[in-house]
Amino acid sequence: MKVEILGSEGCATCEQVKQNVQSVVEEMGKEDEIEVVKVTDPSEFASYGVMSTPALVADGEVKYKGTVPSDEEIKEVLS
Amino acid sequence: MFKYIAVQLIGLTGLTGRLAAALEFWIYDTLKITVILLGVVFAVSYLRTYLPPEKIRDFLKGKKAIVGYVLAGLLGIISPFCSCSTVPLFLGFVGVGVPFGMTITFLTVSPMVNTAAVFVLFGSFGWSLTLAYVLGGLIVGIVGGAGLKLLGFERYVVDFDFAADEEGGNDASDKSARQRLREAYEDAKEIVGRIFPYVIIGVGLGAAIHGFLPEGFIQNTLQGALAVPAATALGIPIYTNIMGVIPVAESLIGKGLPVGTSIAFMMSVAALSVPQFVLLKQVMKRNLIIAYGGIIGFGIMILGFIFNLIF
Repeated sequence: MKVEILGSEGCATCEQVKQNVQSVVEEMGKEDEIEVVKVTDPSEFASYGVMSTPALVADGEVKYKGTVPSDEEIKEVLS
Repeated sequence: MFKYIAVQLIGLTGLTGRLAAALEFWIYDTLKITVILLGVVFAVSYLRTYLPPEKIRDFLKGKKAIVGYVLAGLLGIISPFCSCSTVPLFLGFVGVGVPFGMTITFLTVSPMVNTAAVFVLFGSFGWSLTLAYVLGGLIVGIVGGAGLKLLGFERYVVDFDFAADEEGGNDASDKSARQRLREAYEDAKEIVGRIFPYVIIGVGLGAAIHGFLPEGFIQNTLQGALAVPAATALGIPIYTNIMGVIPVAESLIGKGLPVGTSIAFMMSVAALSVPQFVLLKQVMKRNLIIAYGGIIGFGIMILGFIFNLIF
């Protein structure tokens, strides 16, 4: 699975979501299966139809946007 | 009440004179702004879970001229967003057909006039100045947006594709109160954390001016026809939140800086900044950015002159 976190440079909550996702991935022991990528290019946000960050995209599908999902919510997306 | 706490605290230290005046200002303003920030930001964040950018966009999509511009400005007041979201918002709005001018209005008004700032302004300056500031900010944003549109600057927007029909993600309508509270808490925490350093610096600067700038200094140096353009220009390289500049303006006005000049400075700091222009460069060609800065700066100066005449 490929997980993308969309967030511009200088967006603190976006960085936080990335760290949350990474720690959930580690907790689940799925480092080998799940690739976590941070996307900072706004034109890529646009191609996902996202205009409020942070956004969480799993395998090309927007799961959350404009909010910091809780660890449970992240777990649900990843499993 | 905050005044009382500040005075009591200063009394305990036994300080008098300039240092006491500066300290009192610092304690008073820090308390006042922090309380307002926490309360208002949380309340607004909660209400905002009902009004995500997607909804604002849909409100504006089909609107005609003047109604749309006024609405864009008003929506800008109630929706604070991180300057790091400016570009995604711009793309999202323009990408699904919100008129270009209204998008500019929204993005201009939002950093200049926001709900928490309105409360702090009211607490610092009283209602007439607050009203003047809010109306002035709206007018600058509307004139700026409509002006750029009429002058044909829309063609300098960089081409991009926006996936308009993407319906994925969390929907605004099906959230529980608990979810909204949690989101509001996260949001408020982020906003306050981001703004607070600017508040501390701003209040510190304000306190220093309040305590140590000699009376008469401003009357002797910062007057005349060039004061307003100078204040506007000075605001461009300064990058801070509107909440950080209010205490500075508060003590400058207390030292006799004309109201219009002070407001021009506040607006310029909030609406025009170099980092913002750098971000916008991703979606706007240079001509548009220059015109944008020019028209907003010009609007702010006119407003400053008018306010100097009125107040």
